Amino acid sequence: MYKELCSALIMTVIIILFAIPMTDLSGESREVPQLLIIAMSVINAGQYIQAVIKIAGRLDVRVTLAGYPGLRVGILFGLTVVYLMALQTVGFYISSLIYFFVTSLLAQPMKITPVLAARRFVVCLLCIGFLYGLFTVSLKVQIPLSPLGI
Amino acid sequence: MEQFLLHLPLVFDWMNLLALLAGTVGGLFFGAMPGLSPTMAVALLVPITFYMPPATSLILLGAVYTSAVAGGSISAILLSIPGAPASIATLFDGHTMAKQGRAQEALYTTFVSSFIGGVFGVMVMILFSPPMAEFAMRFGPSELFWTAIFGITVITGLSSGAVLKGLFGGALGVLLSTVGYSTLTGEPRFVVHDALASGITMVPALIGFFAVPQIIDLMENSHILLEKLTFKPEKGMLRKVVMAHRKYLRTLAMGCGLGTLIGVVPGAGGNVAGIMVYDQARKLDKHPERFGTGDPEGVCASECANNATVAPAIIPLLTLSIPGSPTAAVLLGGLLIHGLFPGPDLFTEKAEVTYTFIAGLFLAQFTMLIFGLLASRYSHLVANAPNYMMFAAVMILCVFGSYCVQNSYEDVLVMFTLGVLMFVMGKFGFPSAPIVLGLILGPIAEENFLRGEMIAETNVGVFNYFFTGTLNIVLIALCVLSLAWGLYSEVKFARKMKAQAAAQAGE
Repeated sequence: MYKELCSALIMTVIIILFAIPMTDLSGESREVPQLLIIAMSVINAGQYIQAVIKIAGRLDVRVTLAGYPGLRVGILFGLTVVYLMALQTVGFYISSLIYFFVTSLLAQPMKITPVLAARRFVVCLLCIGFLYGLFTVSLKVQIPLSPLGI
Repeated sequence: MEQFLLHLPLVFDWMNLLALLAGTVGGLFFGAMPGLSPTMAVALLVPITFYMPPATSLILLGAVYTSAVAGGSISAILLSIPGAPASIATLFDGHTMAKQGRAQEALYTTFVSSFIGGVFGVMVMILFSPPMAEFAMRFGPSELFWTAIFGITVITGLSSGAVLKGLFGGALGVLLSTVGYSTLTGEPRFVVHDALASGITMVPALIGFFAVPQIIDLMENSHILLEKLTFKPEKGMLRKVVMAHRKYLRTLAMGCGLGTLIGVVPGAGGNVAGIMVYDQARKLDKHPERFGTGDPEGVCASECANNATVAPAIIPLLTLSIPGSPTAAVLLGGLLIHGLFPGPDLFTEKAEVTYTFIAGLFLAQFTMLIFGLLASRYSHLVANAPNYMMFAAVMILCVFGSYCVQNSYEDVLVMFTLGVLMFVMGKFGFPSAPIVLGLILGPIAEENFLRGEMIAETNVGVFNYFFTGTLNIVLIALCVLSLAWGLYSEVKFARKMKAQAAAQAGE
């Protein structure tokens, strides 16, 4: 897929996503969004023209996932989503500690050994402990805590 | 100046001083780490400042901003990876110097030049902010509307090779700012989930737009282990570097002057200033061939210019609520969460906070110099921080920062969702800065547009109200000029690409 053409399609999708609920608006509430949608549509048309010109001139680049480390990013991204979902139940500090420890071990290129894992756990614990001391103990910041109160 | 001197001692209050020192060290740390930009550093710290007095929090953010811009040169010099976009031009000579075993000289040159540029920028801020704020009092709804539009158009004009995407992003940002209950009519707009009822909270959005795409990029490169760096300090280096600066007077003058000017222009920033001054310094030199071969004057040109933009970028922010750079845009979040609204009031009713902040920014140049020089010896340790630890650490800070603005889990989800969307859009060349600027300037533009319309309908008519009057015409002309400049750059960029493609095909 051509990059500039994809960009134009993304613009179209965004415009449609906003244009549909905009029809429910009335009067002054609608005025500015409507003007913006019109302006964005004009820019979108320009982007399509630019895409066609670039494709015709063989200046557009093809977007490809070849060579992209999809598996690694996918796993780490998935773990991030799990972390965000677990945040409220498990608490910020415990979930952050687990997330930090697990992802840093999975992402590294070195072989995981018990010594390395233990060392990494201590580093992660110190970092999260620092955040706990700074935010919860010193600044009394409200943050989701686990049932254990940490 | 009188107000500045009056409030200077307030910075020495223990809490302000602590914020200044912590901000300086933190800024250098963030700047030195590849992949963490000054904008991201300020965005992550804005929610934390919620718990501090306004002046203290602004001193912290100002110190982080100025130190992170200077700190960005550490990884540019040592690793050839600019820690901040403003340090791109620094690596041309800085990294060559490091490869020649002159890393210490390059780093010392960086901090001395940054200090000179930074102090000059703050002096300009002290002298020009109050009259500019006074001038801003002449602005009615129509002028404020055009000023907001100018802020958005000018940043898109600088999105080289992506002007249409920049313009679209600016409009999208304004559209995103309309999400939630309308402040004028009370009607819900685009509220597809309860979490959006009060609109998109600015700080989580800023964190999402700037930090999450960088985190995903760090995930992509998480397995890469950069070559470990070592550093051998040499005695008498500071003296040598300071003496050398006496020969760079023309470059320093250019860095200070152009840097300040570019800083004031909304949307431009340290990266534009650094590259532009480096380029001019090279062109005007009798021996331009020495630039790029490890000449400290190249480092001086880039660093003096990029730090000279810091304070001037805050001038239009404080006076007209138009940020001069993306980082200044994030700084606006820091002002707003303390109920400080840009405009003349900041220099009259809130003078104590504003001038203490300016005084803090002035002193931050000194702390940046001192800590920068000291940190140079250990900077390789920060630059060696591995990506596999960085992305999770930054993600945790993002979650914390987004949550604690309103103690809302929904804000965390909004931050992450916007960040992922920005990552995808970024892959197709959409810049994040125009979206953020649109999000910030959107409410100003809409409110003043609707107010102006109401005034116009009962008075002179919409056309006469918005399109006549000297200030309106000047602002409209600036908008048109910035758009025309953007389109011209786009055509120029396309031609350059075409020529490159033709050259490659010829080979």
